[in-house]
Amino acid sequence: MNEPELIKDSHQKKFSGGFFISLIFIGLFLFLVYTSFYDTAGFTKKISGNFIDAVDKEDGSEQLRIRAELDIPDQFVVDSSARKLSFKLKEAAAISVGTEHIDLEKDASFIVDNFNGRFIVAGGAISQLEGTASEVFVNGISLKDKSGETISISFDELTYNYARFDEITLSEINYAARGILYVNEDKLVMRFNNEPFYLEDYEGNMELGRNYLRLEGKSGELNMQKLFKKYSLNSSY
Amino acid sequence: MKKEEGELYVRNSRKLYIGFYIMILVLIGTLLYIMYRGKPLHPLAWRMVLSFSLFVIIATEIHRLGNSYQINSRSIVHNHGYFSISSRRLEFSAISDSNVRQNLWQRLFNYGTVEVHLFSRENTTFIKNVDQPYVFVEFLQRKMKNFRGGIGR
Repeated sequence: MNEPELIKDSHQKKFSGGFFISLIFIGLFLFLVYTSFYDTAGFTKKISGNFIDAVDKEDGSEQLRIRAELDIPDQFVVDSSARKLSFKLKEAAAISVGTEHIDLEKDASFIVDNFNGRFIVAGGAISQLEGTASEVFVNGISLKDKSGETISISFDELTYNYARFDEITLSEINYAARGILYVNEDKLVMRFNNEPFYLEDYEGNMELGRNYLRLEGKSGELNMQKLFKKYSLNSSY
Repeated sequence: MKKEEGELYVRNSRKLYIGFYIMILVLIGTLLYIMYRGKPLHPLAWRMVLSFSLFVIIATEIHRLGNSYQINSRSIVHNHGYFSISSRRLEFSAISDSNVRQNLWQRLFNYGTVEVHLFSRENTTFIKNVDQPYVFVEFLQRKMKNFRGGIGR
């Protein structure tokens, strides 16, 4: 007969990470609930700038985050600065950059960096543009002043298939619009049907297609109050 | 549980980790509910929940790999460890009896601990968290019966 072999207790260890995982779970769950249901700005804002309900300006006032998809106004004047203007041309156009005159072909891409000046947007075209830029790209080819100074840029009219203005500041947008406006991550949604759309001190991006205008940026609280008053809404929603 | 020509090879049942799997489901469910309600979702929320889920799944699988039990024609072998493995063999001739211990949760999910007692009574080997413990014990007893029958001839 075989000799019996005595074996000590083989107490298997408990899953020692269980407590640790449970703690992480509780923390994660509370974090999700708090940031989604209770936190309006504070904790979220401290962790990530990408998720902000109210944006503090330097002077302490607050701005509202807006997003809009609207039809194109008949005409509006832009007299401000933008980090970048990008155009995809619909038809050939002539522009002046510094002392040079350049003929742009149909479908050419035209980009202006750090623009400062004035132009008019009307009926799928940009007209009477005059201003300065740090650099201009025509079909990807850079044009800039050798000394690093800004260069002047101008043209009479340029029709576009697509235009985008990055980090542009607009003192006012005011027209009878069709479309939809989202305020503060969709907390407030307003639909416009040929109704007055009014924004002041807009900062952000603007995109122009053949028949749409997209805005994504920030606007002052005061301006929104005007908008709310117009529609008899309470701004302290 | 894996049977190979008269051998039984088992690891911890995944049912042991049901609580952790429920945690993952709760978090994913919470995210979906937040999206359904149209509430703001932190941009890192999905990443955090997916990272947690991945971590839990990997951790539990690694924990499972740490213990395995094998019943062959002569003994029960318990292998323990990850890189350096300690192997303990419990000969059938040293085993007096065995029983199953289950709490309510384990009964609900049909897994539990098998206690293997030795004649010496000083030692008991616990085969913890095996799936279908009664099937495991029946197999063990059948094997022991065959073993002792063979020795008695």
